[in-house]
Amino acid sequence: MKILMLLKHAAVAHHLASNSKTSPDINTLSVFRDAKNLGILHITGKDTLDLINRMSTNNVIDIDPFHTTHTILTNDKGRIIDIIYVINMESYYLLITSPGQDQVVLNWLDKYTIMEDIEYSNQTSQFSISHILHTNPKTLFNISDTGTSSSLVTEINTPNFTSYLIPYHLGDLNSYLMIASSKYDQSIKKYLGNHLSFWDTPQYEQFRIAHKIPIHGNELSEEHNPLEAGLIGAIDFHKGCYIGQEVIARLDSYDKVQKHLSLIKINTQKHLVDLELFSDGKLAGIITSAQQKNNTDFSLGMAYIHKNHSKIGTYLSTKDGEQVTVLENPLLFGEEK
Amino acid sequence: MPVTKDGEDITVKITEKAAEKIKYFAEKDGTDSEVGLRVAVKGGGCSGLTYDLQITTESMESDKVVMQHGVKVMVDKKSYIYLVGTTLDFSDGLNGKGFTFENPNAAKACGCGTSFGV
Repeated sequence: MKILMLLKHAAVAHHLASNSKTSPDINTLSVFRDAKNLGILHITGKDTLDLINRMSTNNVIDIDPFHTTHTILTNDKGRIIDIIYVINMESYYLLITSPGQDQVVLNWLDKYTIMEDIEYSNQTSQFSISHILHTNPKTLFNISDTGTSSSLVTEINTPNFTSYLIPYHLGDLNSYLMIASSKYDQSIKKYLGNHLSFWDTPQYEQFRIAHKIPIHGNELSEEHNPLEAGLIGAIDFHKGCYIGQEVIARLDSYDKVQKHLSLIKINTQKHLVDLELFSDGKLAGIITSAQQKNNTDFSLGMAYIHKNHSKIGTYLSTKDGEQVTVLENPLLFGEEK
Repeated sequence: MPVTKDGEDITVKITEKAAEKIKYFAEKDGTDSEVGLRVAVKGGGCSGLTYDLQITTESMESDKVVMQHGVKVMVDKKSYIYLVGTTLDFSDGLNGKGFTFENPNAAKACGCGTSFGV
């Protein structure tokens, strides 16, 4: 009986996923977008990795030079301050934050810097950042792919600009950031524009939702913890203490996570963000992002849904009676390590 | 500026038991001169701040230094405000073995015993 139910669930999930698949194949993507709004902190000092390791969920202590990793800063309640990407540039570190979170992250780190040898500088305005979705962007610069590590930073030198190509882990996407001095902004965009298609914000937003990428302000905030947000793959449960660790470990150990970030299909085109979802008249969740799918009469969205209603294939409704279906409970960085 | 209570300097104290253990570890470390313990607070850890203990003979100019039970206790200047009034003890009971901190400034502490918040 249990096996039959599982098979039924799998079939429903497959059917729903096929119905909603209108996004481009992620393996053939060849696009870029302006990601200048991401924050960049420049950090120096021998205690940098040690402090970030004691303040965030993932193990960052052993990042090799010219490699990057992602981790989550959480507060003492185990709630999300930001997902950050830490890049070891050998003589200094770069820290990529979500848009608008650069100063928040800097202030948070600075608050806990007591006797550590660390100097921070917010250099968000001094860098140009492009986000590239491409299987292997090194080929755009005639660089042979010698590195096998998925976190290796590559230096790009052209006659017109110098920059760094940095793996930017977003689920199973081939995603990179190209970071350079802001004085190269136009020449980099021109170069990328000759090789890749440009995506504006609405185009990327539709792609982001379809590929279940949470962003700060919508899905990620101090109202949610990383387990609810499907970020368990960025938590190292063996690394030791960090701010919020006890709460997160307890939620995981005692299975106390009350809601899940889900991908949903909504049978309407209305503006849906912050709209509540109901099951038999009871509040079951809230929509955090939504956008109409091109050439369809439905929207895809992301929503925090109570665990009792977040099984794939569950039907919910909006206050006005539009049907909402749970398609998936994604894990951006994969399963628990 | 030293913090005082009833005209007496309040600083970090160590119990006799903790002092004996510090001397034991210092000896194991090969320290044959004056035994010193540097006490400091680092950012991070479960509750936001983490105790840091180092057996060392060298103090920094800015350290607050006091001799107790034959151990030179050095308190990092920046950490002083978080540690003032703290007593360092050593526990070898069934409920946990190691150095323990009784810190009147700590509003919360975590299960691991090395992290606290103010």
